[in-house]
Amino acid sequence: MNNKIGTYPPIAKFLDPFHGYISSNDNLKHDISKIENENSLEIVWDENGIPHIFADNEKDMYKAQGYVVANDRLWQMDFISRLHAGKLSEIIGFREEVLRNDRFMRRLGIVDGAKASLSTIAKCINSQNDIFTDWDGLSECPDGYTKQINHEHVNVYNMLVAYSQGVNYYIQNLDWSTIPIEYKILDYYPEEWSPLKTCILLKAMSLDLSGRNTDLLYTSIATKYNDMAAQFLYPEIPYKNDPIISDGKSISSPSQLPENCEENFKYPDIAINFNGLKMNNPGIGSNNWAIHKDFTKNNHSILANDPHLGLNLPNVWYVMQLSCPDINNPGQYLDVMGATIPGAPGVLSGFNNYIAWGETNGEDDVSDFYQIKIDPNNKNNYLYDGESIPFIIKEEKIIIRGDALSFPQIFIDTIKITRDHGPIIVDSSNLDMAKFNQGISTVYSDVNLAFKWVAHQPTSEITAFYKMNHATNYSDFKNALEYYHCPIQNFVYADIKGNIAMHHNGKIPIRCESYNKHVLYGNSSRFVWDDFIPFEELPKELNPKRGFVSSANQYPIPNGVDYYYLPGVYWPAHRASRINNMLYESIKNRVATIDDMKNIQNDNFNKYAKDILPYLLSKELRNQINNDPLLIRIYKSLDKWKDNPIHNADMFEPTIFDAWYEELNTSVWGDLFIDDNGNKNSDYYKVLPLYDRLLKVIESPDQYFWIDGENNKTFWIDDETTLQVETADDIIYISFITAINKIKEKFPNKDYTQWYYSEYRGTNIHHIIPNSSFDAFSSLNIPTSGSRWSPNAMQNQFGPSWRYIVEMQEDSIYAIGIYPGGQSGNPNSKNYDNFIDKWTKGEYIDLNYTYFKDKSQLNGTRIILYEN
Amino acid sequence: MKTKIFIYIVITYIMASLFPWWIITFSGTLIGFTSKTYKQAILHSCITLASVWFLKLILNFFIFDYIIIDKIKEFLGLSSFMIIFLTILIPIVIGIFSSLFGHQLKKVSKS
Repeated sequence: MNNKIGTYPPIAKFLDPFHGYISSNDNLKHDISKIENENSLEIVWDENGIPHIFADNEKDMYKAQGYVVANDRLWQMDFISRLHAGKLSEIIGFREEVLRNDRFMRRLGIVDGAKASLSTIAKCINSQNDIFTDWDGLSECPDGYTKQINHEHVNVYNMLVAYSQGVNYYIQNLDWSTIPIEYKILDYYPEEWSPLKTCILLKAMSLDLSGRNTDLLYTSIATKYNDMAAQFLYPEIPYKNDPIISDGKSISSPSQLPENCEENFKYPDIAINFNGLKMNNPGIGSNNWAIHKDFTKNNHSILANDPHLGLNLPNVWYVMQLSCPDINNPGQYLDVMGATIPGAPGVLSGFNNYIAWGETNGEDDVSDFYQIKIDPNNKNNYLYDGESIPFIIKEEKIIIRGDALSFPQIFIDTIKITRDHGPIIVDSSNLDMAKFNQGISTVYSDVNLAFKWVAHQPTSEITAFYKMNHATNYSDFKNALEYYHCPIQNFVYADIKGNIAMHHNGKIPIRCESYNKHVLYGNSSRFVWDDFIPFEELPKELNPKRGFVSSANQYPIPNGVDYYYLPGVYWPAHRASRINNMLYESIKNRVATIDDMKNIQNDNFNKYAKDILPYLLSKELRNQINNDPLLIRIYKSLDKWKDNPIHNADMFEPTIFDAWYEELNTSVWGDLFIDDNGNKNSDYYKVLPLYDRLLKVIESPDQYFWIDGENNKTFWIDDETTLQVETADDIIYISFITAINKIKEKFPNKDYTQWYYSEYRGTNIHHIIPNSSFDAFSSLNIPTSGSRWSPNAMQNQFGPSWRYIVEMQEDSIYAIGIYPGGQSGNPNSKNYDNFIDKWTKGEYIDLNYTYFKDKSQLNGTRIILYEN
Repeated sequence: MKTKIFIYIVITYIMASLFPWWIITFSGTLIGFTSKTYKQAILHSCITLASVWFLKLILNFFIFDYIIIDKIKEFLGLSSFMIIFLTILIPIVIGIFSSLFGHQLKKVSKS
């Protein structure tokens, strides 16, 4: 009764009406005066539950931020940091998939990367210059070590400490009856927060946005077919490019070309099966843009940003305002507002009195797999530059919690780390983990793959965001970007002077183009990258002639420009082109407004459908379906829809298009990814080429590749698993019929005009814990519009995780925003999911941005703490 | 008898508010210790403990809206009736065992 059993909570403890599930409430759980503020402090929660903190110094401000974020989102930040630190088994107990996740995260080196980043800010060091690596950034250094704070990052360190203290004041005052309900269900207490945990969360962001890697897939395709096939399927530059940087003249020529590149590089002979390969995450992407003041109605620059991420409850973002006297600019105030990540101080996507910024994912490849050759004479060594080098062997102890029916256990995992290539992720001595790590079900038994990733390095994103929060002009902003390393992001900028800018920014390795995206050899230092594209040479533009800057995860530079090799999984430019067209439309009379920006963010137009449907709705298809009245009606409806293909929730045409696209995609590419038994894979959607490839082969079906050396010409469009040679007309017809039949099965008693898109696709926002029991805390079957090809990039479990628009007027900044969720992480709160309806309808809330001097005018629930 | 049970309920309610859920075992033991017979011990203990939890549950229903109740129903896969039933059953089970223990303790201490 006092212990959980498996996934069930401790029943008596949980149902106790005094302290159990029902006692979780929505108010500040404790007296916030316990944060021991030094000067007076005022917090106002507006009608949407958004906190606006007005402090007299930075320390109090960040402490208060930690406290109020913990009050709303403690469990979320605690859980996400545990997830990426590989410590879930400690709270969940023994479950195979949880233990594997813990082992994977530890192998990946998230915590080591976080420690490296923390060490750039502060570290514990002894007289022999040894660093105490287990320091969390908050506790005292052990005997013999002293704390050394990097003078350049003193304010950042103070911010991290103050934030952690704020969180910990909150945690220390919690008891069983007041902790969030997830703790009660899982039956554990929160750990103290620390700067290290904040760094772990930022590395988690890196994993989410840059953890995908195409090396294994690319090399496997090349091994199975040839390089030509791999290059066709996974090109660097998408078929239709509309680059982020519009003017090629603003791109710097490379000053540091890679040296010693092998022109006739023969990649390692590695072939894997594709089952579950974690290469492509089709829902992650984002939009951002800014319009120069000369092109807007009110003569103020406008900036908009909507990151598309996996949607969960509680939402990944938490909106708040932070205000205090600016320590960098005496006499001025720092009033910064926007989206924060629970667990990280400051604002990540937002604005202050002077500037606004936002991010989209750069999609650049910032990691590489290396094939490591184990020394046959010593399994703890590997061969490198003709020498036998010992692995760094690390023993990871994973505590597995017991419950009423089982004892706690300790699982010890041995991880090998190379000197220059990162940790061994695919370990031939542990194929079970290899399968889990990369979905590898067939791998040569002697293959060992190390994973080198920019996020392993001592990166300093937290400093970059601190500086962005404090920036007052473009120069400050640019300076902040120099500290930003991973993942690569497209930073959009606008300021109250009317300037706009776009930076494709981060540490991008300088690589040899001849190596493509292949797995590289780990036996030679020649293949190791150590240099990065110099900051000044990264793609950027300031106040371009066209009057706006924009990005939507596409390739950053125009085709043919002399630049560094940029491997990555850049998105085809259909979404970007639509946004640019709408921007051109809105600025043509120099009267762009915030309403125009809302329309773009919520635009459901599918430019991809516009491009591909003329080929699909061919005369041949019309003739083939001539005997079926239903199919003819559907054909005619689509033919009409193709001139203005919009994915609205109440329409049936997008349902048919989506289903048809899926069938077509499977028909064309599925035969390339068959498993050892010759079956098309059930999970291949993650590895299929991006959608511009399909358009390319539908447009030009006579394209082929050499399947067997140069002896066997095969057309992409043909299904290799059948005996006959299919033409494009065959594939189009078969996929159309199959799609319609599948929709009919889903809507058995409905006329085709009632195949509503909202019912076919919809959006599910699941609770963070991926367990069906937690559907009780989820928001499912939301009738959303939009599509993966639309600016409103909605999908079933991905979508715009935060939409915000800001007009940058001096002394009168106006900002609106929305996200799918609510400020509170408490399922018992009215603020848990109260934004979802507005978000679904494309509505926004006023962010109630308030200057420090006007704080008394802000309405809401107010707490004033006088100085201690 | 009614007065006695009322006093038990007040004391148990206060204790349950201040301490973790298992404090009701002390209450049951105390009731068992002060009861004259096993039957009375079980009866008084069960009535007291179940009343306290049921009373608090009902008060919660009035204080909070039903958001969390509905979500917990779905989470546990139980109906409202089953949740209420379990919330009463737990103190009854504990009441039986703790009062038996209390009453036995009384007998042992007397002998």
